[in-house]
Amino acid sequence: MLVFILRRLLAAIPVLFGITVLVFLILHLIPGDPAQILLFGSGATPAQVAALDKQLGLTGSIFSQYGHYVVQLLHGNLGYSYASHETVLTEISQQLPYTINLALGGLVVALGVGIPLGIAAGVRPGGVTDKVATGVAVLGVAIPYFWLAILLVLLFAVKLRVLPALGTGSVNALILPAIALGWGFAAIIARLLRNNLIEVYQSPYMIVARAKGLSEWRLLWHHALRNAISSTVTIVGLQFGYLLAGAVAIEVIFGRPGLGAFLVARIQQKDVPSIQGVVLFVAVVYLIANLLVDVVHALLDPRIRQGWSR
Amino acid sequence: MTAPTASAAAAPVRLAPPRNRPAVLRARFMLAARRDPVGLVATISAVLLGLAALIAPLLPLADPAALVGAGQLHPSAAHLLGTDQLGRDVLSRTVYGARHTLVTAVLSTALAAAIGIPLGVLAGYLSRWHSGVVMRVMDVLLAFPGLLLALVIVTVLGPGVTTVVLAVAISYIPIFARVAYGPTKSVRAQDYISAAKVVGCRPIRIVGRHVLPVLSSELIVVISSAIGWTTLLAATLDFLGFGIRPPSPDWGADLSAGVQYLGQAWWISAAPGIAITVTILIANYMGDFLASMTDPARLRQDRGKIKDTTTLIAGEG
Repeated sequence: MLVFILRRLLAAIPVLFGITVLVFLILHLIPGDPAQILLFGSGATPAQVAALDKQLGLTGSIFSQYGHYVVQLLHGNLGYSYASHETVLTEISQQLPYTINLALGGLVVALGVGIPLGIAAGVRPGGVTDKVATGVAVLGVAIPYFWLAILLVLLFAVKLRVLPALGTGSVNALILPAIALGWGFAAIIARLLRNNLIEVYQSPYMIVARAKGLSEWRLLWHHALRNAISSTVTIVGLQFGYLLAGAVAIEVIFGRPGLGAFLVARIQQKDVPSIQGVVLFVAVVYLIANLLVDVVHALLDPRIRQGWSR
Repeated sequence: MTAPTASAAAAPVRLAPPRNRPAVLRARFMLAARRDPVGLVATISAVLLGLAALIAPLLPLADPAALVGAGQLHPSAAHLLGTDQLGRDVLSRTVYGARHTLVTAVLSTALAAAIGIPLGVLAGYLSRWHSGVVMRVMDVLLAFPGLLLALVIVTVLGPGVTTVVLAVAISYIPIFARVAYGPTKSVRAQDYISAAKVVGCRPIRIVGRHVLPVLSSELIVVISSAIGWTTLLAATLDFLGFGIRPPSPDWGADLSAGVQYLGQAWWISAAPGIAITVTILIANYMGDFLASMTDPARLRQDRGKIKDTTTLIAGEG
């Protein structure tokens, strides 16, 4: 197990390196000199521009600049926002709780709806439940989540007036955004779990278990689900990154603060350090989430641990 | 090597080795249509949708940018889907919006496929070292959730129509590379590839004649459903205001513009919203249908709709 974890960590290093390179390059691919953008309109002298360049770590070759950037990152310094002049780290930590709540809410919806739906459909493929679940899943995948958000607002906030459309205060305010964000993932999870269950139910050991006279519940809980759920776990990890990214549109629609709304606002202001900070942060969180998922997957499924490919 | 030359309906099941003769294709089309009516409907709808977008100026529609009446008119005989917040015809904007949105989706899918598939095939076919480099780069790109990568590209290039096409295309390159990589790698280990090498086939011929045909049905599914997902991603970017400039009709932008008027005039947002949903549905079902034409064996499989490619691609959410 330890070897497995170490191997995964080693494999993550080049990806992490690539992420930092790409994020670093954002600054250099953007047209315009950052120091001049910052000092625009203040009538700065070339000497002041050069001084700011130095302060921002923008002198020397691109490699030494990258080195400077990485050293700063290792010190936990994501730079200063052009727009607010606060450290990017402070800004991210202010926005983060809102997005975490939203993403977790979305995850709860995704798992809470997706797993039961997938089980119900997979136990009796072709049955009525399966058809209904398939319909829900197909629609869930096809409806753009930002449009679903709008529909939910229209129904529950405008027509029925039972849930608030805007705001962040109460748990109630989280319900609609979480459903909008999580529904599509619920559909994917349901779909995948159903297909896995169908496959598992056809395997010889399930036939033996059934022939022994085990009850349907025991078959499901002790034999089928354990096998079917392990690859679902992988998808949940993959989706978590997308939940963070999906939060962008959801936060804009519901007027919620959070990393996504922050990112969109800063892209409009061309506030490069903030953009770099958020992008780096989400990519790293996504990477870590996937590492954790690999570990959980290995815990659930010994075949993965021993390096059997699937 | 005898292809059925009799009428298509007469010999639908037993098919000759894949020779793309019209008769074979027709027979397969009939077979696929019978087994998968939903796919047939989707494929026909896709053709109609494309056609409507193409000939929009010839249709009896109002100018999508013209004010044709009061704002927020309810759907009526004169304006089938009502008018928007400014008094423009919603139906006309939805049809014209299809032009922009679908062109963006198709172009970016084509671009992503044209770059991603060769990369994946190369990586799968070449030595471990080369494939390692290519696939690690793809891993880095995949480490950014689709929308985030697209937003990075918007940041670099600035908002605009070209940006959206490029942003969506680049976000999908690693996905196509991934899809092409795995099967290529397993095909490479097959005996018939070694045999082809022994008889002196050049790598290009091996890839073209022996590797790509094996991938084709999977690629068709992925390309087709990718058009659905790129529609969604492009609409998301337009929705967030990073794409086309306001007066031009576009599904994402129009949807976003209608949000404020939701309480009084839901149809402004609903029309483009439904259009996006339907496009994604059509794209998914059409992929399966077309794939079963190139690979009839697919028809016998459990056709769980919107299947595993979804989990790979979906997710712009």
